[in-house]
Amino acid sequence: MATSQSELCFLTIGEASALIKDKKLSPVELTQAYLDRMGAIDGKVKSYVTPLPESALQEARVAEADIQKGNYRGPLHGVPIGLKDLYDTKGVRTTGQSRVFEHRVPTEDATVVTKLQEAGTVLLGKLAMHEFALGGPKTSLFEQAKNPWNLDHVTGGSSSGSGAAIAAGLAMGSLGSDTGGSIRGPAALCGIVGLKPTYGRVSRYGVLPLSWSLDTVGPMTWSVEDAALMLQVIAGHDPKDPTSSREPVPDYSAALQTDLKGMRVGVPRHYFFADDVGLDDDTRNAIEKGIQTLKELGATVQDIEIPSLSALTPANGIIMLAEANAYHEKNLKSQPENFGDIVRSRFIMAASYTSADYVQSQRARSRLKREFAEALQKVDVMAMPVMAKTAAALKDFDPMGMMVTPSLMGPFNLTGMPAMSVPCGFSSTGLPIGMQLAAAPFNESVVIRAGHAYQQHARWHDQRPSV
Amino acid sequence: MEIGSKEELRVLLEHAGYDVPDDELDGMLRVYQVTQERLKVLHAADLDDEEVAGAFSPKMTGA
Repeated sequence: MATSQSELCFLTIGEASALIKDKKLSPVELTQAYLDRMGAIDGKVKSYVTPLPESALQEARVAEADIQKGNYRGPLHGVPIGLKDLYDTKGVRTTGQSRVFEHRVPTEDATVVTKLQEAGTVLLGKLAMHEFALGGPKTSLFEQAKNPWNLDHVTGGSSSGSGAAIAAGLAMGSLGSDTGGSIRGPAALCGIVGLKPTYGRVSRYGVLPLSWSLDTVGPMTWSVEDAALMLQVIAGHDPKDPTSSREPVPDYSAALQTDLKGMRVGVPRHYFFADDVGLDDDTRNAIEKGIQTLKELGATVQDIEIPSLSALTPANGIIMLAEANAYHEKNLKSQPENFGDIVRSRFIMAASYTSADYVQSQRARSRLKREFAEALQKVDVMAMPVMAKTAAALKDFDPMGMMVTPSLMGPFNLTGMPAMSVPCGFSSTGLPIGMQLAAAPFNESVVIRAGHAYQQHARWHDQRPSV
Repeated sequence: MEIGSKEELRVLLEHAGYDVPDDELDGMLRVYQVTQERLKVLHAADLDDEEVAGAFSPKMTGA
């Protein structure tokens, strides 16, 4: 198939897999196109911390041979992907982008890595992230990824390399992880799709933890269809993860419809559009237009109330950092110099929390789950902003920023609900904006349906950054 | 001792086994104060008989 490098690298998984299945696109040719593009532009984007060109080409050759023999495994077969550098990969360094784990080489794959291998994916390399899934652009190991829409701006975090790689056409799909917004934030700021599944929907086994009771694993892709295809492969029970759910996994592709007739959309305006959130005008306008589009597609829209949202959402940060402190305590005391400044200070500060703070936070979580469940009796999906503003300039990054404004993503980590960021426009300066869609636990299909219908109508994903 | 003061933070962290340099403590203080304000609101919330979210199950043992 004679096609330019950028045409190949800007195919969606859905488009590429149809060609691969019909033997019109070679996984080796596709992988080589990505490796060439990485060589050409990743020096600027910095999305990969450990590229794996040789093993990627070998995996692509195996995929191609299997497909030629008629052993086509499904929509991810021969598809080049990248993984955030907190997924354990057997024999490949996995650092959490921290000097603490600079030489850490796992002896076993994470469960999701095994699942992706079994689906026939090609691993292009390990992707940049904020240190230990918290931090900020400055980490103790490796350079940080840049936003492909403007290389002077942040990607958001913590799945920074995942967001940058997908946006720049440096991977067809990737996995991020989300404890307080680490999939949805960079997805919004990089103009891609990021899906945080329900807590327990995808195994966390072999994933470096930030917070055991909040961490979720999910896809970051160019289209909602691609996110559904990746989720299909990674979802499901894992006996190695004690919090993994036995809830049956539906066919997510069945949700890829193009209208929203009968869908009830709720907007928790009192919290997500409140003055203290500090929405910029471009973001507010883009989200309002996005919600209007959902209506035009056949949904009914109403405002909803989650009474305790404002008072109880800070529980997310308390739980996250308290659990992170417990996980990192030994290293924080024995080798504090190997942590980046931001991560070290925030992890250590969690030692000031009392047991009552942690327990009250877990009780707050129960209350919010109850209040969201009541609201979800009236609506099927909720729509709201992901971030208050577009990507900040790297020089203006303020690590305190997310501490002092209300979290727009944390509520869905606290409640375990599935939530997605889908591109919904651009600012006047050309930076992407994301709309957040959330639904009841294990109802990823509703989020996918709303996101896909919106995306197919709005078509913001037709625009690509020029790097 | 002032609520949310640098001295309070130092004592708390020392008690937890962390010896944080003074300049780093300066940087942490603002985050600490913001967190303390939010914790006040969190503790003031009337959660009635709400239990903790994470329910222990003796069958959840992993592999």
